This record gives sequence, C-alpha cells and structure tokens, in this order.
Amino acid sequence: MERILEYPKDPVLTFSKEEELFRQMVREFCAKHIEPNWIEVDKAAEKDPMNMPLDLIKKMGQQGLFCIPCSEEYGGQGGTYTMATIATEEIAYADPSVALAVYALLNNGWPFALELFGNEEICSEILPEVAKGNAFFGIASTEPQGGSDVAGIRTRAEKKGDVYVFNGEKAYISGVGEVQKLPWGGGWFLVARTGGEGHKGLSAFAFLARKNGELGKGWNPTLYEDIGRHGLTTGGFILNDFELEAKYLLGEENKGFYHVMEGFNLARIVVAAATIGAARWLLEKAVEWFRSRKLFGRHISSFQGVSFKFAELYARWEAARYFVYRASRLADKIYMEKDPSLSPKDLNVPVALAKNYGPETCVDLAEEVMKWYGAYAFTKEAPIFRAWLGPFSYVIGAEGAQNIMKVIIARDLIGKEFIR
Amino acid sequence: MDIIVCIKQSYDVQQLKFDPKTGEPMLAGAPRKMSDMDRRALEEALRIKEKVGGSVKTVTVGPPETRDVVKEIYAMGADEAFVVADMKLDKADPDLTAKLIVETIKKIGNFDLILAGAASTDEYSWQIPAKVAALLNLPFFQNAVSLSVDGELIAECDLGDAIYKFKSSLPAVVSVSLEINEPRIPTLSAILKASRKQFTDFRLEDLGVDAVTELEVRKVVMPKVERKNVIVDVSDPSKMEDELAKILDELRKENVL
Amino acid sequence: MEVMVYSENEKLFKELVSAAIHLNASKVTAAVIGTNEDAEKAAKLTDKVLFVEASQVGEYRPKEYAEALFQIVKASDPQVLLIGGTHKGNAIAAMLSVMLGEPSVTEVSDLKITEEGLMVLRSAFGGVAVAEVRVGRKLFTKVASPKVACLKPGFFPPAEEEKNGSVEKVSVDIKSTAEVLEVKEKEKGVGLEDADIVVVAGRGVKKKEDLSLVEELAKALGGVMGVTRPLSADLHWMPVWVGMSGIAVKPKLYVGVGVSGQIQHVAGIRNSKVIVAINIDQNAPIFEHADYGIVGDLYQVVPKLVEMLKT
Repeated sequence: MERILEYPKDPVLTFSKEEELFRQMVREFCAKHIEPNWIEVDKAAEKDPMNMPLDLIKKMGQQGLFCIPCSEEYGGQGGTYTMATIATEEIAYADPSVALAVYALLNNGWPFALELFGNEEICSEILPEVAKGNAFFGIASTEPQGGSDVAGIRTRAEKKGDVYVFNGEKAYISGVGEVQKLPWGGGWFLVARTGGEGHKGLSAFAFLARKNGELGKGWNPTLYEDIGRHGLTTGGFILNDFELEAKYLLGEENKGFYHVMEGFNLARIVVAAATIGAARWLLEKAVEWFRSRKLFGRHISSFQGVSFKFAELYARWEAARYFVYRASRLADKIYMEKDPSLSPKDLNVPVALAKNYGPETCVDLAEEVMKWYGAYAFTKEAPIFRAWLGPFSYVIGAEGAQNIMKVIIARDLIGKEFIR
Repeated sequence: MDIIVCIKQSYDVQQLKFDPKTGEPMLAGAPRKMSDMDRRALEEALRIKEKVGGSVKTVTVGPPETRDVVKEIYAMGADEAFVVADMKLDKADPDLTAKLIVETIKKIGNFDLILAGAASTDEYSWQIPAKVAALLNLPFFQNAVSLSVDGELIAECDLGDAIYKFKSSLPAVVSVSLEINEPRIPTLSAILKASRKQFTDFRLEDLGVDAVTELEVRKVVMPKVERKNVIVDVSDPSKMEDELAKILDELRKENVL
Repeated sequence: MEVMVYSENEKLFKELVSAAIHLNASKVTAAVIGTNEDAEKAAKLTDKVLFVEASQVGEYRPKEYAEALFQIVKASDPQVLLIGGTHKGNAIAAMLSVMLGEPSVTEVSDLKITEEGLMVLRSAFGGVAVAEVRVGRKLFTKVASPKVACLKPGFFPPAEEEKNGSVEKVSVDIKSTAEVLEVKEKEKGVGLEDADIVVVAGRGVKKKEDLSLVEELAKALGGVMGVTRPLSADLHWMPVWVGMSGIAVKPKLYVGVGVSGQIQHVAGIRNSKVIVAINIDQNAPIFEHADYGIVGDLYQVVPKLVEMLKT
C-alpha cells in the first residue's frame, strides 16, 4: 500500500512480528471497508444519529476488532492491550472522524475492564456479543451536573433483595443509540451511588439497558445532536426504578470509584491512540496539499511560517505516539504479564500524559491543516473539518477533561497534599 | 481433499524503491509480502477444505527471509507449512524453484490437488505451476477464475481471449488468477495461534537438490525513456487557452491527434 | 542455426518470425498445431513447417499441447524455440521446457545470441524494470534441445509473407487427461491494450462522478478511458487499471489526468509514443515521464480541452 508518510522506523519503540502482521491486517481491512466509506458514514449519521454504520460494526466484529485484550473463552481475541492500541490507531487513520475508532476503543477498553471486575457468568453473557459486534459496551459515569467530579455522582442504586434499583440521570454517554439498534443490545460500565457521600459510596455495574434484544424497564433515553464524529451516537438516559440483578455488580460494593478509575486509565490509552491515528491522516493531508498547492508562484510549504509549524506538529505527533505506546506497554506489564513490581496506579501519569497530549496535538494539527488549506477547508467538500470536530470531543472532556489530566500528573508527581 | 498450495514470499513491488542514479532496484531489506495470486490460491484451498474436508499444506521456496510468510500462512488457516530456505535461493530460476517444490511435495506424500498463483507479484514468469505439473507428469490448468472439485476437477480458466472450462481427473495442478476470490484477512486470534505453530524447514541437502540455475540475471534496471519534458503552467486562467492550444498544435504536428 | 517458432496467435506468430530473423536464424521452422490452411499460411512466412493436425490433439489443453510440440521439436533440430507469450504460450513453454530438460524464459521483449549463448531482456518486477538474462549456459548442447523463450506481443514488427516453406506433417500420439467442456469467447473489453489514444484518470479525480469529465476528454480525443490502480483496486471505480499487474498500454497518445506517476503506473505506459500529463502538482513524478506536462487544476483544464477539441 502506498503511504504518503512512511510509518516511523524505530529501534526504540519496537513491535513484535505478530504486532506488525496484525497492524498490516488491520490496515488491509480498513483500506477495504472503512477508508472508502467513512465520509458517507459521517454524513448519513449527521442527518440522523440513528443512521449508525451497523454493517461496518458487524464486519469489524467478524474481523475481531472488538474485545481484543479479552480472553478467548469469552469470545475475545486473547491479544494484548498494545494490540488494541494498534487497531485503534489504524481505524482512526482510516476514519479520522474517529467515530468507528471510538466505537472500537470503547468496546476494547470497557469490555476488558468488565473482565477485570465482573464474574464469570456475566462475562460469558456479555463479552461474546460485544466481540461479535452484536452488542455495545461503553462507559456511563457522567451526569448532567458534570463529568469530571466522579465522586459527586448522584444516580442511586438501592439493593432490594437480589436486585439493585436505579434512579437518576446519566448524560453525554456514547452508545445510547447503538444499544437500542444492535441485535443484542448492550450497556455500560456504570457508576452509581450505593453508599454515602463521596467516592467511597460508589459502586460499578455492568449495566445492561437492553439484552437479548429486550429493553429493560425504566430506562428512558434521549439522543443529542453532536457537532462531529456522527457515526457514533451520544445521548443521555433517565433511570426510573430500573432493576438490575445483583450479579451485575462489578468488583466490590462501594469500591466502584477505584474500579472505574482503572477502567478510565485503560480507556484513555486507546482514546489517545485514536487521536494519533487521526493526526497521522491529517499530517498526510497536509503533505499532499503542500506538494500540490501554490501561492504567489511558490509551494505554500516553501514559506517557513508553514513548514516550521508542520515540523513542530510532526514532532508533537511523534511524542504523542511515544506516550501512547509507552502507556499501552505498561498496561500489558501490569494486566497481562502481572509484573509484581508494578501496580495499576503506575499507569496514572503515563496515561494522563498520553491523553493530555494526543487529543491536543490532533486538534491543533487539524486547525493548522485547515488554515493551510484555506477557504476550501471551510467547505464541507473538504473532509478536514471532520477530523477536527471528532477528535475535539476528547479535548472538550470525554474520557476525562484535559485539566483533569494535568491534575493527575501534578498530584502524582508533587503529592496530593501539595496541590490542594 | 488433500491440497498442497505453493506460496511465494515476493518482494512488495508496490513499495520497491529504485536507486535514482543507477536505476537499480534497492532489494536489500526491501519489504516482502505473500504473493497476491498465491494468497488467493491458499484462500481457494481453504474454501475447498471447508466445504469437503481434507487438509491444506503449503510449500514455500526462497531465501531465508521468506520464512516470515509462514505466520501469515498459518494465520489464514493452513494445516501445515513446509519451507525450503537458503541464501542461494535468492537467485533461483523457475526450473530450480519448481524442482525444489516438487521434491518437497514428494516428501509430503499424498495429495489430490496442487494450487498456486498463476504468477508471482514480483517475477511474473507464469512458469512455476506449469513446471511443477510437468515434473510430476500431471495435468495442468492455468489462471483459473473458478474451481470446483467433486471427484473430478472443473476449472474455468481465463486465457486472455476466452474462458476455457476444463474437466480433468485428479490429481492435477491448477494456477489461479487474481479474480478467483477475495482472500480472508486473518483475525488477531488467528495470528496469535499461528505464531505458536511449528513448520518444517528443509535445507537443499535434505532434498538432494543442487542450487544450479540455468537463467542468470545479469542486470536489472528501471529503463529510462527519453521524453521531451515540455512543462507549462496554466494556473493563470487568462493564459490557459493559449498554452493548451500550443500543446494541441504540437500533438497534431507529432501526428498523434 | 535453426529457430523454431510457435504461436496460436496469428499476429504474434509473425512477430516471432521477425524475432527469429533478428537472431540471424539460418533456418526458421514453424511449429503448427492446426489445420492444413494454418500450415500453408505459416509456410509463407518460414522455411519449413512442421505440422500436427489439430484433430489429433483436440482443443487446447496445456499438457497435451506441450506434448504435441515436444514431438514436433524432436522432429527437427532447433537451438532456440520462440513461443508467443500469451497465457497459452507461457503454459506450453513451461511444460515443454521441462520435457526438453532446457530452461525457459518469459516476458521477453528483446533477445540476441552472444558467445555465451542466448541473452534476453525480460520485464522484471511486473514491468517496472527490465532484466538482462542469460538463458542456459550455451547453445548447441545436444540435438533438438532448444532454449525456450516466450515473447511479449508488440515488440517485433510482423514479418512479411515472402517465403514458401515446405510443409511436413508430424504424426503424434497424445494420451488425453482432460477435456474442454466449453470455450466462452470474452467480450472485447474496453480495448485499452489496442487503443491509439488512452486517457487515464488518477487520484487527482476526487469523486467517481467526476470520471465523466475524463471520459468526455477521451471521447473528444477519440480514445479510451482507463484509471490508475488506486481508483480500481482501492476505490473500485473500474474493474481494471492501467499499470503494473493491470493493463500495459502502448498508444500513440497517452494523457494522464490527475495521475501522480508512481513507478508502478509508469511501467504500464512506458511504451506510449507521446505522453501528456495534467497535474496540479508541478513536482508530480509523472512530469519526468511526460513529453508535455500541463501544471494546473484538472477541473479547469479538462473541460477547457474538451471545449477546444470540439470546436
């Protein structure tokens, strides 16, 4: 396959033969199924969010692009977290609106978190359907009053006999439409209050709004109109006495805050991977444009104001790539190899670096590329804006606001007591 | 149905670079990939096996780096891979390659059908499958676009001006075209399982074949055709028509219009 | 030196005769599997025709035809056997050379005899490059053991009918292993291979609908439209592409519209007489391979050209 920019040859950040072959296979899949269709996917869902690309989700499931790090006994690929990272990066390169990459990253990161904390019964029930692309499994933590303040979550789950009864509201949740439309259904790694105030009163659940094609009672969804990344729905839901069997509790009751933080760390790695994939597409669009576009009789990249900016952004992209793969390799050491010298907390800073740096690099790059393109970039005919608005969701706050990443870095490095 | 598929790890010609000064291909460390038509031969073999049962074994001949293709062969679903790898095979000609394939096939033993790509992505000699057939004294059919095996072989072959539908007894050798199927892309779990599978690695000595070649490649260059290189810039719309008119005049003068 | 020629394709057969003369053959022998008429025709071009009646062999099957030719070769003493490089010819050559115990080489565009033996130029890496290849160690090793070379069509001028060779029938006994159930003539494709004028659309064409723009230019020029590999293999806008592993064209006039000029594409247009390129990128590699390069936006240049050609 011809590429405008060669993928960096790198003796430090190296990939195994299996990883290389996998990347090549994902590229082949994407070149065939995603690259030719992503703009149409974005346009169709812009008209109606319920026009999600169900056929592509099915194909991605068949190709084994979901539940990559999950066990094979649960229908997963038995791969590493780095392999999920590779897949996410390549899918986002092929669909820089990142809708399909976000679908994939959610359905890699959160099913893996489900496997970490869920019992065998619910893992065998949910994961094979997610792996096949029949069900969605994401994260539902944010509420209308805000997302960053996880400890302030208000949705309540009261235990009554062997069920939990949910009341409250979740907002800005990915997959609200998919859960309704996919053949099996699905739900979220949902955080709700089972105890008192603060982070020690929270529990995590494998919350299924719909399973086996049947909707649960007391789940009232709404869909939002997003500005970008249309191929994946965002919405909210109100819970009115929604009943969920107790087996769906993840980990220990009132330890949900810690469980979801581990999940966030894992998800943020692949979030950052999506943004470096989209950024690689943007870099190529820039180079393509530089080589063909002239201004005042010169190639526009002959103006150093342009080429230096390009060089700076390329450097940021390479740095972001390092952050992403360093974090995913560390996740493999912690969760796959169970390295006794490491604990999940060791991911905090590396992940925050990747999540802080990747999306910002991508969005800054998109804005620059649009400026280089000039007026054409402001038309809908040029696809650049799609690669700007999609990744922008991650600068705004999805999967942790940028300032929260800085808080994590500062807190872990300086010490909790010194930053209050 | 026991099927043997011949698979070459070709240079990835799409990515091949040439020395701008000498015009010679820069082959050292150049990327390789499973030859396009061979990949389809393997896919066809797997589909036949999925339908009627049996086994799919593969033979790969080439320099040591061609061993890399085994991972992909297993990831696609082949049962057993055989490789003949040797530094000397970098310069193998079709006759030597065919001979090594045939000696390997003899070691493998029983088979009903031998499949291969009609030509390799880098060499395009169109010779190896036919030579394998001739060495084994088997019927041969080339450039198949569709294949069915049900006791006997029916092969529809694209021979350029016509599609020939052949019927033959088995065993036979069939080479397949790019159009015959759309090969599967292996999943990650298949790739991971493949990496644990062993393959048989033959040396030339194991097969009792000397690396003697009759064809000797003396030189390979990208030919340079001299062109006039008259380049005009028509980005200024006011001058476009004049400039284009000049070119059309030239083309008329050259008698090509 | 005797050179034997065989091709089922009449035009290519004449080119082989030219190639044999080019090799300074003292005797050009034709191998024919066909009718009396076919043999008579071949005799007008060669010194001698060795002829197997098609009815003895039946319709084309590679193994049976290779065996028939093997018996023809054995009835004479050629040092070089030239075969037309069609699908059929390539298969016959490969099997026959094994039967003869001599090497075969395909995709040949030129050849000569040197002290070291037969030297050929063959296309390499799918036509991107040309390889100089020595075929076999030397000629005249043993009786009736020719080196086998398959010639690509279109590299030698067709020979004139100026001979009056003898015709000798060879009787063969072929054991048949396969039968032909059906021969479906293919519809003549878009005719890119034989077109005098070829207009090719490349990546610069942004949408499938815009191909009509290029099509119009092709029509206005009286030519045929093709596309590059990405437009065919990746985007599936057309079933075939011009370039490596697609179709090689050799028109009088080639026009590349938004074609960047990857070497793999250039390999398929190299033998065009005149190359014109339209591309917005003045550094596009296609311009190095062009006689006339037009740097400009194809969306403006092409309609203008069509308008100018129509008036």
